[in-house]
Amino acid sequence: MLSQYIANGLQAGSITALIGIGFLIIYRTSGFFHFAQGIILTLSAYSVFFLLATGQLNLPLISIIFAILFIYGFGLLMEASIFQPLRGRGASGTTLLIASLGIYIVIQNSISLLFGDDTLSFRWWSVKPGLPLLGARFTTPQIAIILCSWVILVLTWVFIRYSKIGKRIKAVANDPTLARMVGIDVERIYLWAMGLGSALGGIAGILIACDTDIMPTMGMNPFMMGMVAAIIGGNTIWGTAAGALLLGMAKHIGIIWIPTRWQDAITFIILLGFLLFRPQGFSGKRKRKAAV
Amino acid sequence: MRVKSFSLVLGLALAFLFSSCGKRSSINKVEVTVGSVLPLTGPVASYGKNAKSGVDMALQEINSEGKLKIHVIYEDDAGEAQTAVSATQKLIYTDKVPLIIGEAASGLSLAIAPVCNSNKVVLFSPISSAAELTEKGGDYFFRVCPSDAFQARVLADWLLSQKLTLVSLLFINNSWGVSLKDEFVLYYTKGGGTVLSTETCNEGDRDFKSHLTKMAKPKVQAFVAFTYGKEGGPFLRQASELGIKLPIYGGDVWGSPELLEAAGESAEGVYFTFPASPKSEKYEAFAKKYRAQYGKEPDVYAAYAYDLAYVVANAFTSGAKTGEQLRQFLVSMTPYEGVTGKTQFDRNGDVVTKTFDRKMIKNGKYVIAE
Repeated sequence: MLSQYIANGLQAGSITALIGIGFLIIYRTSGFFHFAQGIILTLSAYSVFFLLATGQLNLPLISIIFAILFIYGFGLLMEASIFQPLRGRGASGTTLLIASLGIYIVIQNSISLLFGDDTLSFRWWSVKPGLPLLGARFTTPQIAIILCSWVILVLTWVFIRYSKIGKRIKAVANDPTLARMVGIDVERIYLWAMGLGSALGGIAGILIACDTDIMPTMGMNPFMMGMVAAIIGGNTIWGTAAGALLLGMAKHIGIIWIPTRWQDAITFIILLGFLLFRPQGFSGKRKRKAAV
Repeated sequence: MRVKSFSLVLGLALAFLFSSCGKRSSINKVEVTVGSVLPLTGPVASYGKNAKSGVDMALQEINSEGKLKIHVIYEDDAGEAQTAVSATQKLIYTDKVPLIIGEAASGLSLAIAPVCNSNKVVLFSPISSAAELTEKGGDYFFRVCPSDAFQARVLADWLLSQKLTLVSLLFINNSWGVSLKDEFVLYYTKGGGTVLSTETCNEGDRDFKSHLTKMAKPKVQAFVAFTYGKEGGPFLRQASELGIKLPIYGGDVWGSPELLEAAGESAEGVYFTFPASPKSEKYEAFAKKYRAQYGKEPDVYAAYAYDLAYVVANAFTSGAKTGEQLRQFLVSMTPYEGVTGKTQFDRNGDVVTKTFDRKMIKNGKYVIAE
């Protein structure tokens, strides 16, 4: 029994980690709260549905790859056509946040118009009991969620840490002005961050859709969880991963003792706790006041 | 002088009366405008849209007959109570409608019912079934769908007749789910059943694995779940993925095609109560037309809304114009024979003529159980 709760928590934690990292990369680099990341999840799932279920393309894996590429391109387009011009006019983080919220609303309603509000499914396998493993049951999509999330997490970490672009992303995240001074093309890095973040969000959206199908509002809750994980994780990749695991486990193991109606509240109680007692998150260092 | 002006007024009044009579007999058509407050966007939009489709289809037929023309002003509340209240006020104060079709969610009907009652405007819902609306809906609230108090009793009797006396229960945390759960627990425990665990979920939840794990108590004989089709799909799918083989019982909303889409094979063998449709021929004709027009199966709300529109048309044809007259008509009308069976209301505005069938899902189709 307990192992099933842990398995559920692990699955929730893994997908939350992946979403959290996607959000984190954009948030840390571009420095604004990218709300539309929530709809990126939805949009990529609907892209797969469009390619697969409406008979445009009957090859699951290729459809998924196309959808991820589309979402990557969509992220670049969003950055180049909306955020970059706004930034050029000296828009503040709040303005960008509102623009991002606008994108969220427009796309969500467009999806509703095009595909309707009912639950849709692009599942191409039949529903079967999961495989028993250490006293818990895992279905194939759930195993895929856990494996993909962690593999991609490690790859992202390697990319950010060792590649040239990754290092630049880090530099811009730490101090855009200084980065510009040493000759980094900051606008290009913003593009990279948005594309990468969108692709990660897109993968997460498709994984969620494999497990629980698609509807126009599917992205919001997972996105909120990922965002909270990034905040309590203290803005680092492994901090976010740890935060996500904590959230997932707390959500699923917590309800053994407390009534299920509090399941969603758990996430935000943890967030409040961190904001009050450890605002720098898991891994962040407490900032000292700069000496003048 | 006084007599003169009196006769002038009388003369004018008569002239107007006759001229309007002449007009009416020459065109022979009554035009009325009613309002509608339904969720047409947002998370619960599917319910509002299906109801709107039903109303629209009925109105096309009614309006094309030529005797009566009903306009509907649709207001979208996106499933939010505050928006619903504003929309209701707009319809009553600006558009001056005598009747409002709505709302979908019981909680929102509860929110707008007081506004309608204080302005003597009929609020007519195809969907809101919460038991508490019987009392709290006031004099001007009517509904075509039966109250959950009745449905809960049918479901409790069904479980007890199957000798299933130990169940775990999941309900959605809103007015509809809570009142259905309360009524069910009341009848079920009175009849000798025991509810082993009671779990809660929210609208739009997708992950029920831990709810299910918690519900799977050692001695439990069946699950009862009061959720919409949106949550019911993943709930059933995850139940079979977790290897749970218990019988699962649900409410009438599980008769929506959305559940089949999301649950797939795992919907097989699921039981639910569903409003009985005695005149199946009439329903089939309706369903066929609906499929042709909208390209999908009608759900129960589309059918309710279709009947609702005809009842509204009958009320106006009878000569009722104001909210008070409409209410009087609805309370005293003879049963209307529609696609969902007979429709007649008691003094509380609850429909008294609808019964529930015991249904199940077999080979991806809804069939009568046993």
